[in-house]
Amino acid sequence: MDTPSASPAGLTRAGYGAIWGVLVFLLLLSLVGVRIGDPAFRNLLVFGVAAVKAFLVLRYYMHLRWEPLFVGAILLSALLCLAVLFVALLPDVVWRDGWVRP
Amino acid sequence: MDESAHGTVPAPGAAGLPSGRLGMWVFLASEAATFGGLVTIYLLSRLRHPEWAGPASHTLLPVGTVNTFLLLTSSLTMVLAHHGARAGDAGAARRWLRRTAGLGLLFLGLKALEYSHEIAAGNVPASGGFWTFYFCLTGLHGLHVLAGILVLVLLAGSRSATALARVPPAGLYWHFVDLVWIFLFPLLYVTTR
Repeated sequence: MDTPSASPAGLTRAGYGAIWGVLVFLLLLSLVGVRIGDPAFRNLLVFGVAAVKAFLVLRYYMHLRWEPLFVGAILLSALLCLAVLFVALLPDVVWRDGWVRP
Repeated sequence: MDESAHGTVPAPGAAGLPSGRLGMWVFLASEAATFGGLVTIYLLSRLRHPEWAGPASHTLLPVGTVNTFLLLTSSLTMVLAHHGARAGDAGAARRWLRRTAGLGLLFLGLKALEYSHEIAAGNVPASGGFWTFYFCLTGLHGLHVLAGILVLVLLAGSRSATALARVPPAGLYWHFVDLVWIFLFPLLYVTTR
């Protein structure tokens, strides 16, 4: 059975608060994306910010930094499956009208 | 083995970490595949339907922003509950768990207001492709938030000796719920402008 003291070491309370401050700043930064006219740059900024926020939550709040490496591999395997799904379906979505149906 | 205020610390399992935490990580990987699959199909459908940009621009960005702030703050309170549990401070852990649940309830309350606004405006799941995905993604996420709140309330109210031990895996689940919203927010509110 787990005990709380068996959970991984983490930051101090001030450290967690600092991460929260960064997350809130990044949230405000992503709102700047609303003002950007170029869709490509806007998407890059907004999803880039989301990726950084997700990284901070995973690493410091979920304590992935202090977990064994294979835990990250478990998560990565799920993401890889999604990437395969996206790439495999992309031709069907993009070129559907051009396919010759039997 | 170490002696702690909570008794003997068990040796980690063969995987090098306690089974409860390992089980939660595996569960979250499956949840990532679930939400990720929906998001993937939404992204592909958006590529196929550029006309969805019109209805997509009607989502309520201020509400989405406040909700994102609430969930980010709830992640802080959750990790502080974990910190308290790890230190053996049951009182602090329960207080932070209750605050986390409270922030989750605020999130759901705002979500309910948002849904009623959209429905009043005629935007329902059958209104079109975008709104189908919007209600499906946010609805599934909302159900996960609700389940998380129930767990947190039960943990905060429990005087069982094992309750503190369940805070870390509960925390993992709650942070995952926040993680999903971190991506839903730009997907459904920011890039739709």
